[in-house]
Amino acid sequence: MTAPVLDIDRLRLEIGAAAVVDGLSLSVGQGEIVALVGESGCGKSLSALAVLRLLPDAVRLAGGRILLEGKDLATRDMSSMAAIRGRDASIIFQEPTASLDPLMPVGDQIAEALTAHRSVSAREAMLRAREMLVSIGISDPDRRLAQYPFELSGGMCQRIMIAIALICGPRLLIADEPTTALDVTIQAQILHLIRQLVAERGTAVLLITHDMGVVADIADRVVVMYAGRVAETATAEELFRAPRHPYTALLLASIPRAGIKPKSRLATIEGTVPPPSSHGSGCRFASRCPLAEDRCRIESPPLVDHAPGHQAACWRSGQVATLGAAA
Amino acid sequence: MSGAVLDVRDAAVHFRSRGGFLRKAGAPLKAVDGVSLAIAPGETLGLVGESGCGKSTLANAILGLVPLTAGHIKVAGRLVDSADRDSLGTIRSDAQMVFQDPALSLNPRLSIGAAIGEPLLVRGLARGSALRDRVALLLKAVGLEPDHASRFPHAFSGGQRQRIVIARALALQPKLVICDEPVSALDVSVRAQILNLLVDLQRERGMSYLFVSHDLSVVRHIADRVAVMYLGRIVETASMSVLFGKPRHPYTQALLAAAPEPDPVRQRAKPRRVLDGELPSPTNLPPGCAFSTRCPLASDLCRSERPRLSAHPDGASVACHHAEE
Repeated sequence: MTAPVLDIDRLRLEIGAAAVVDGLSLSVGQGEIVALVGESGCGKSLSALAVLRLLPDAVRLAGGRILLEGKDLATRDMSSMAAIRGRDASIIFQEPTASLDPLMPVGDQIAEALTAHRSVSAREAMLRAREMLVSIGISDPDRRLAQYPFELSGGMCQRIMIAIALICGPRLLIADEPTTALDVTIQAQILHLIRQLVAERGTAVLLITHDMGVVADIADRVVVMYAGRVAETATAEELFRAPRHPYTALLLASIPRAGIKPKSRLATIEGTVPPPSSHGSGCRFASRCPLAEDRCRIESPPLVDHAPGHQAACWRSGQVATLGAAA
Repeated sequence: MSGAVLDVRDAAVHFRSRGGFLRKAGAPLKAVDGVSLAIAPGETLGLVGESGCGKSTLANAILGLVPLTAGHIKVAGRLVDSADRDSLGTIRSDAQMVFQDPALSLNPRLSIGAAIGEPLLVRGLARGSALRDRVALLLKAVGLEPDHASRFPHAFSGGQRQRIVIARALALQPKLVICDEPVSALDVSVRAQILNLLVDLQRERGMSYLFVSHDLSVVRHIADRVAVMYLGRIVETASMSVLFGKPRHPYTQALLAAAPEPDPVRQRAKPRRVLDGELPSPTNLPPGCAFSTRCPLASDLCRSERPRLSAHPDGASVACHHAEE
């Protein structure tokens, strides 16, 4: 395998003294879509922001390396980050309308992303913006270029965001819940577009989502986070077929889907995610885990290989299969 | 339907845009445009559709929160559209609502016991220690501790807050609970807890649900029948198993195809049919079928003549000129 485009190694993020992300390692290869999943507060969005050094002031990057094509972004100063953002790595967010400038025609916003990084004339940039719109399947591009965000639907705004993110041809695209605010038929369009662009351009995609349906649709590999740590990582197919961490297994069993008897009891995870300040030495899922034993509460389980590319951090992963059957 | 908990006949809600200094009055926005549906006692009707299709406006109209432009709505035999203040009060004790965001549904300065007890107090049904007992029972019914009553909403998680909202909705023992996206703001694992709770409560108490959602997997799990709305109109109704097993309207088919299944093997084997285009503006609907601008089967007939709901032997009703193709 060639070197990954993005290689995050033992990333640690802190708020005050509490570690909100603790030892996150993941890699994304060329043309690969890696999903980072977990529930709200698990640290997945902060991890995504950390890659581009966009963390809010309260969050400190306290350790680890973030290698983008071999260069460590964790140690860069902010002025060199500005040159990297949009050129080598881009990010799109959940609310496309909140990410666009309401007072600027979208064509100018796409062209601006190009002129910020390349020495091209305004005319040339606008031509490239037009090409970009055509390549992402927007009909009537000339009219669209002149429109303002308020004139466009949410799905169209997200396409514009994708155009802005990709116009410089970055090696990495980070998509933070890109379809969560969109309707399901529009979501299907955007996911289809991302899949198609990855195939054409070989862009590496780090997809942040809480939606297992989206994961099942387009992710090649999945990293499941719980309370700031990686619980499990595997290919999408393997993760859904044979989860080895009780959190993953229960999460999957709690989703209503075809094949589950209507109105039957869904699996639930009792309790709530513990706050970062209360983490002890043991497994962070222990307080909610039906398989937990004394060891789990004392000693933190390391990520262990179960199959090539399939790792889980659980002392009792051998028993997880029984959990799925019971649920 | 006689004995129906909810009976909606040809209901329409049109919003008029007011003209102004620089703008002339526009065409009315037809949020709900000729909808008929009924819910039997103990039944759950899932109402699905994308944002802007009018499903929440319809839910609000049922409680008399927005006036009807045309048609009639009856809750437990009482007309909502011509109700005076008194009978509207009775209607609202028969039909209660649970909204999407529990944080916005609870007064942050009111203890949850006071919030849950308020409907009983307002209708003069209980006070003092009797009220406290009723609140304790309601808290237990939704899986919370009776001694939580003195706490305030901020002390609870999102899932617990939704339980509190449900307890408040149950206080008057309604015949119908309208759930407007009740689990959409919740995390996946908590979502399952609330769905289990809603199913259990219905088994125990026998009330009906109108379950409004954009999430087809949730509706498939909880609904007995499903109505699919598109731009203010119902395009298909059927029992849950018929709708998911044999969707007939091209829009229903597109919705089912677009909803990703949480199973990579099944999801990736699904035929890809990405629906082109976007919703037309609800102030400027096409003259025929509202879906004709995005429909792969659309013909000249669809663009000129609005299809009516027609019944099929398996109980489904479909509004499409080409449903058999």
